Amino acid sequence: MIKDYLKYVYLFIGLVLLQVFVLNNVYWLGYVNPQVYILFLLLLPFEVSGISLLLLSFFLGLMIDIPSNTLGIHVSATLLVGFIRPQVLSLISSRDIYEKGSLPRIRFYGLAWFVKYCFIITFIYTLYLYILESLSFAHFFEVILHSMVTTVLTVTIMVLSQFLFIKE
Amino acid sequence: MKNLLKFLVKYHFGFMFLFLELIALLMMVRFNNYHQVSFLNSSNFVSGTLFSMVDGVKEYGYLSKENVRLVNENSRLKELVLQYEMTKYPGVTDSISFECDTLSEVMDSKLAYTLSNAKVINNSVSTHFNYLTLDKGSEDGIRVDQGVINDQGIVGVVISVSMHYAVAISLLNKHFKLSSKIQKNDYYGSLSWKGDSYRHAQLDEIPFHVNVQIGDTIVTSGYSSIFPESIPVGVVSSFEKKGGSNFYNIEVKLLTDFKSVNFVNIINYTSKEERIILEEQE
Repeated sequence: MIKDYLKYVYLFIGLVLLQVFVLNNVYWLGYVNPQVYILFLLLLPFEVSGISLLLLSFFLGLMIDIPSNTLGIHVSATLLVGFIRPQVLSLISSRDIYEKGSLPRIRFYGLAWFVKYCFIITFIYTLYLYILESLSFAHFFEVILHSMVTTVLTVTIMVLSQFLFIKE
Repeated sequence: MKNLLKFLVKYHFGFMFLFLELIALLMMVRFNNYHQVSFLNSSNFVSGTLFSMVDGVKEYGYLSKENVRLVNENSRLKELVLQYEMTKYPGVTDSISFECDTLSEVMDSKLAYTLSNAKVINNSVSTHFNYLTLDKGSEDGIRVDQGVINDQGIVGVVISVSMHYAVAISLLNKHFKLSSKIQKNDYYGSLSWKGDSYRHAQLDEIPFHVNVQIGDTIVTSGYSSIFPESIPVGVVSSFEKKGGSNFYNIEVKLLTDFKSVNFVNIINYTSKEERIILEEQE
């Protein structure tokens, strides 16, 4: 049991360090900054309670915001992820309840399900983040295009990471 | 009351979300007031230490480029020293010694500012609100509101200081405004960054009757107590007359390459308090 918790603690620390020290230096084409760290929220078990999910989202966002000097922006965006996750999960599942003992992983629900799941949430997240950062709808189509490209790259990295660290 | 409680319990997830979002929103809106709270930004001990560790690894990649820049700056400074030496041993004619007097006066007046150096350990150019983290803090004499420059030009202003680290707001930040002027005719305006290209900023408040040309040098005005006068900022790359306005729309190509900012100087204006007190009296 404790081993399970520790696994998520390592995942949290690992993803925050990866995001702050590696991925935040990546600006492909000048704007494509992969936001892989929200994978932590996506990989949490189905059974996680709503309140813990929101508190974890808040804390995760804060850990990204503090070193990036963007206080509040990532917190707000990760909270949105925590809020929509249950809805997205029930939306993309053909069954009402996910099987007990299963986790939101490729090996339980398949690649297509996992990509769909990551894509929907990441796209909403990046779109919200871009709008929040620019605080204007002036270049709305540009913002949509940018979020789309960022989402594709982010989801690609997320899926690849699942194959790289398969041992769980 | 019972119904209200029931209602709250039923929708506790949504309420919790709204409550936390409200906190996030307050953080965002009031971030400028939290600049001083260094544990909420990258000058805190943990971020600072980690950023300098990562920077220590990256350092090897840009050492050779940085060396060339330092050598160039050294030779420029040597030139200045030689000029200064000349003033100590004035030439034979009176006219030269007269010129030299004024030069040494200029050098003395510049002592109102002292420089210390620091290394940039974290930097961004791609968001709308960019900041730099520096590896010097209050123990090294860094204070809030000190200007940051490098050998090319203006970099930013220190906004938060912890014991060993500091955060500076970059010129590439929409909150940043710099009082600057056209070097050749001293007309001054306000320079700001619009958030698009990291090589360009915009100079406002220059009226139509002023003679502006592409290639004109823009320097600091010295009207703020942060930067001394005549520190290079950029050159005019294009300008146009906006319809319905009395001011030019001047685009300035910045001299500082913010993607390769590495070693910087921090300006300490020694008589700043005196100046601020004097200005507040008026």
